[in-house]
Amino acid sequence: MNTLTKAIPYMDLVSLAALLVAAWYLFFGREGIVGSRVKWMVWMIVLLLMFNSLSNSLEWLRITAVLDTMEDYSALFLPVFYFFVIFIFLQELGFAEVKHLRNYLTNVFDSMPSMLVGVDARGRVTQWNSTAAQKTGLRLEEAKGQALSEVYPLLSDQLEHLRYAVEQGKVYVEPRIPRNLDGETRFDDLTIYPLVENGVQGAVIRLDDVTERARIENVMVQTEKMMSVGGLAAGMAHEINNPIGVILLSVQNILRRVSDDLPANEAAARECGTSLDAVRAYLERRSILEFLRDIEIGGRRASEIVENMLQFSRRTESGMIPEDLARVITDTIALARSDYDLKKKYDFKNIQLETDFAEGLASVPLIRIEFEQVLLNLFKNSAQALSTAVGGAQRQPALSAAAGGAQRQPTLSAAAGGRPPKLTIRTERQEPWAVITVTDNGPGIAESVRKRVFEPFFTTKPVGEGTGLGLSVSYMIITIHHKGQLELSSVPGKGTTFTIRIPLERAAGDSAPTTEAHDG
Amino acid sequence: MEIQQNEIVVFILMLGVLIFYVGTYAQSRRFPGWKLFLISFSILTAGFFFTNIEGVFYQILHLHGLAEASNILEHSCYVVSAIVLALWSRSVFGRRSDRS
Repeated sequence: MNTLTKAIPYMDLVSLAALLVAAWYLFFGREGIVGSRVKWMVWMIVLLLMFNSLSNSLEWLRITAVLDTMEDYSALFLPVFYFFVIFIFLQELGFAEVKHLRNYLTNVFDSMPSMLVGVDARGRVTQWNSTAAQKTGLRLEEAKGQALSEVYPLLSDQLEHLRYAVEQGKVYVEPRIPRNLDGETRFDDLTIYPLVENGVQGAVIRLDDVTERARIENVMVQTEKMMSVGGLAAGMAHEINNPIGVILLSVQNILRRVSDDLPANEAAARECGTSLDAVRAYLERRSILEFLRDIEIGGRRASEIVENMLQFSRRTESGMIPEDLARVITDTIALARSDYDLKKKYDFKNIQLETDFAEGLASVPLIRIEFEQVLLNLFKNSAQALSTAVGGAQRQPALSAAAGGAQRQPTLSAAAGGRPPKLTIRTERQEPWAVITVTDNGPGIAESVRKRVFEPFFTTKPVGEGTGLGLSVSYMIITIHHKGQLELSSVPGKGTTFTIRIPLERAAGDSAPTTEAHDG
Repeated sequence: MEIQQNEIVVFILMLGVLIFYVGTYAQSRRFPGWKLFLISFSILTAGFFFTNIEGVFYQILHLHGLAEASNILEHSCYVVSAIVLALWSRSVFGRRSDRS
């Protein structure tokens, strides 16, 4: 045993050597693996243990009186430092987790497409996601602590609702709040979620841009209405056709029965004690025959209008059939001339119309109703542009495209320069296409607008005056239904040309010609 | 050989810290090189345990010629604890090349 006892100082020296190795790693080792405070605690442990080992070694060398006393008391600090190593580590771990959680929640908050704003009970911003920063141009650091009405004035009207939601602990919802963005009206759905748990007083405000959804809903409602009105109009047209037929037939009978071609007329006049010549002389002197001819012309015109209406309101279930392009265009022009809406705003009759129809386009395959719809849209668009130019500043800045299509820029200088408003419609045969161009000498379309005219819902018109679908629907009809192309070219101040290309022949399976369609 | 009060106090405190370590195991195990650190600490606590055993049972141990054995056990624990602590330092602070 004595031999073993003599080994104890050497064992302490081995301990000291091991602790020196530990100290070496602590001093020269990697940084950042544990926090600096933890590292300091480990340093203290290593130093204390080194001191213990050293003093033990020296004790066995019998020169240890003072060190022995120090060792007794220094050892008391060992458990303290050991405790703090893990205690501090756990504390830092907690901080790290809180930080991680905060980052995670911030990421979740920022990833939301909605505008999310956290506010306290007094309406001061506490949180602000990236969508909010994007919309307002203010970062969270800039918005934090500010009054909501200052950083987002559009919500200043909502402070009462915010207070109500917080006090009552109830969710407040207000749909379709309009706001103006660069002259365009957009709609937001507002939801205020109160925060009343765990003594936190405040709310989260969520704003969703529902403009597109609102537009689609409006269009659906409008379409539904149009379908009802279309059905009604078709029914009315049928009903009107009958009295018009009676009027026309009666007028024709009257004219026939006062003409000198029929011997029965002369006989009947004689039986009444007069002559047919006297009757005719009276009728002519009193312009009654002229009135009758006017009634006949008017009746025929009314009949034509009703026929066009019926044709336009018919469903497009019919497939493509060969049509005479010139005839289709002429009919559509007649329809445009009688369109009440068109007349009300910019009378089509005031526009000088020039047509130039090429030969060899008498049987172009197309869906007539849809093609007429496209032409009508383009005519209306041109009429609107021309009225803008001619009417000058007295007119509204720009009227809408066809059935609510894209709106022309309110450039009033262009065609107003003394030129009469003119619309030119040409057809041309360019294998494998039938080409129709609709050209006006209006103010033209600005580049920024031109890029977007075929986009659905693109309109700069005031809310409720258009759906922004006219040209996009036209584009769809030409490119998808007819496998053709619809292009727009415009020179500001000189005019605009819409070019339609439709295949001259239907390929097998309705496949389109190889040339790519313009994407508008 | 008499019982030293400070050694008893140190041992009791070490025992308390060991309980704290075990009690917070779910979180503490995320401490880098946790196993080596815990082993080193446990062996050090065992060293203090043998110190106190030596003081308390000195007469009996001395009678059976085992007093020095206890002392050797105590210092052996210190040596092993220091070596494990060095290994822990190497595993945590050592560069990759040091450990390869």
